[in-house]
Amino acid sequence: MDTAAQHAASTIDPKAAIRAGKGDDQAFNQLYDQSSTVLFSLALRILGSREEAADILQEVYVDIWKRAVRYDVGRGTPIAWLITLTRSRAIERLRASDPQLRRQTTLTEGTDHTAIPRKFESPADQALRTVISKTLEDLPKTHRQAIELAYYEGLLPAEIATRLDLPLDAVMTRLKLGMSQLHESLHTYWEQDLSA
Amino acid sequence: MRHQDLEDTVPFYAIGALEKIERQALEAHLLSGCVPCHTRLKEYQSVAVALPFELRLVPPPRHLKAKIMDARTLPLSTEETANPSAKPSLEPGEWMNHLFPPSPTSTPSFGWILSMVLLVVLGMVTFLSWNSSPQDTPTADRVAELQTQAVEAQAKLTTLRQQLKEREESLSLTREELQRRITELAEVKDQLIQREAELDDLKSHLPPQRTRPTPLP
Repeated sequence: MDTAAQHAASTIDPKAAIRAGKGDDQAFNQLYDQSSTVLFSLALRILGSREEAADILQEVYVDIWKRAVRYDVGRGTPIAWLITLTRSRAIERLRASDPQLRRQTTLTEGTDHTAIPRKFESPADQALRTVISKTLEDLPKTHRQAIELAYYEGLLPAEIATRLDLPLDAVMTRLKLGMSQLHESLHTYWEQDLSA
Repeated sequence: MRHQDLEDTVPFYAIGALEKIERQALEAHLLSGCVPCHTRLKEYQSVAVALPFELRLVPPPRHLKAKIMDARTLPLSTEETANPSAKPSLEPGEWMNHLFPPSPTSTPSFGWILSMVLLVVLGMVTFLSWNSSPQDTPTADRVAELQTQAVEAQAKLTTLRQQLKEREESLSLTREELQRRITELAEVKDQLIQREAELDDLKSHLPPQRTRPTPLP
């Protein structure tokens, strides 16, 4: 990874994101370097294919450059906007894919990809990773599964209930409690971060 | 649905786990200007977008950046008109999109232009082939008649060219007008988003209500 890529994805400068969408080549390069690894990891987790994930990233970044999509501070932080954009496009592609392929994707996810050693992550991203990982680990397994099926596979509660062989109400409760726990942990982390 | 019922659906909305009817109900509620629900949504959206940071990080292929840089130089119309359905159903701020009518699509008909061109070419070919046919004993009258016909054909060709040019100019103006309106719509949308952000800022200054920071992400 180059130096720019070591900057945290979670701390992308909003001004740089705006400039990238206005044709500033340097800002666009910086945006790519800071965000592409997280976005690629997300698209790969959803689609299970490096080629498909790369396609999604290309679509997102080219649309930013060509102003088909535009970042605005009212849409949260740049990485939040990019993640939402990437997720929605990857989920849409997943839904359009062959159901059999989807199943295979789910079964083979995360088996043969080369991960970046954590020592190369920026401190800010590492801290966020620690908080979110710890909270997810502390959740009961079905809570975590329900959240992951919703977020990474775009499943609705009824579909999750079928997948996990649980009543719909149980799934709703697990999603709600899981999200609430994540909210609480992250909120505490962010408040500490701000006070520090 | 009551406010409380709608507020309870916010975490599900943030994670994309809400049925269409409930989603639409919540979006309508948000559009009505419910500040608590909007604040809650922002908080839970921050939670949702933090989830990918837990993933094992995998770098994109080395060639991808160069490929993207190259793809930036392709004409805009080629990619965007080729696959208009590629737009995701729920992008950031998308819940406001139904305020805007679908953008008018620019579908200029070049059929009649092509027909005109073909007609002109056909006329010229017919004229030339007839003109070049063996004339063993051309009289002065015949030559004059042919010359007259040639002049007439030339005049028709000029007229058709003029019509084509006018039509092209008209299409160009129409395209510019459409582009202008699309830009205006985008600006109005941006203004709405800005108002939304301002509303959040105002709310954060209200003393009795405790706001929760959403610094990441």
